[in-house]
Amino acid sequence: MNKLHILIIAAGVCIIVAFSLYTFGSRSTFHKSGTKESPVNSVVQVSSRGPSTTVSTYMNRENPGNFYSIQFPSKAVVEHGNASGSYTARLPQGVFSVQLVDIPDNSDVPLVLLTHIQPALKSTLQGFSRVGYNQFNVGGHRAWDLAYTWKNATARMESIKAIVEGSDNAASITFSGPRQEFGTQNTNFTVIKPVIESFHWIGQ
Amino acid sequence: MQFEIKYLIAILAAILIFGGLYFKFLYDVPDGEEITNMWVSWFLIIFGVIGITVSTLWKKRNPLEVDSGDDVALDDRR
Repeated sequence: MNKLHILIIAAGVCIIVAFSLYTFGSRSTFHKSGTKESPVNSVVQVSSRGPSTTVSTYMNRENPGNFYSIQFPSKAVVEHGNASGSYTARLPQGVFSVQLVDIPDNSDVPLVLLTHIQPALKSTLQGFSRVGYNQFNVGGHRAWDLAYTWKNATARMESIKAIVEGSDNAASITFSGPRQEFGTQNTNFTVIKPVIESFHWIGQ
Repeated sequence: MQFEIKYLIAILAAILIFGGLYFKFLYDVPDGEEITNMWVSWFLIIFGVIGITVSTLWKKRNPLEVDSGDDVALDDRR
């Protein structure tokens, strides 16, 4: 075995080790469900519609190609969700959940929303009823929201699910709370809209 | 000119590496299939790299010559 052979074998082993580290090393960033998340910063947001509030920014860098940041009110308790790249934020008015949604290459967000997500909600939520559907823009990306009411064990609930288009996955931001909270436009303007509009894809 | 088997192995290994890179970086992985995709792309690339390494190290031997296993000594004598 001459030097060239040793060099070729060493190069092959190096490539195998490097690729294995790249493949399996990136999985170690996955957080356990329910783990408390820490914000990267907190800023005071001045609003023309109401009193100024402090919001905390969370950056999610778990799924390569689908990095994003989002802001929640600083009083929210933010935890990692069940899936990779997801958050759950609990507020007195209700619960936010953010997760990544796979959009097949041969489909698009409105199609997935109306043919997969809405039927899935209809079959899992008691008394599901759609009350609104809109298209808008979030950070230069197209987004669609679905407003619906449903019933849990004790109360009538209302949810808004916004899906923001991305270059790979889409992001689903859902706010759910008791229906009476939605009756006041205050929650919509001071809590729901600012959180959805703060969503930002990183590097897209 | 005879087509050597090492070239066939090199071509197959290159196809494996291409497939592994495609699954790793270009393929739109369906929800819940990320683990399968990770293992498939890893195996394809690892076997591809092993194949390329083996084909590079492949040495054609003349079956009529007896290998003494002492090439250095032979070179010195020449």
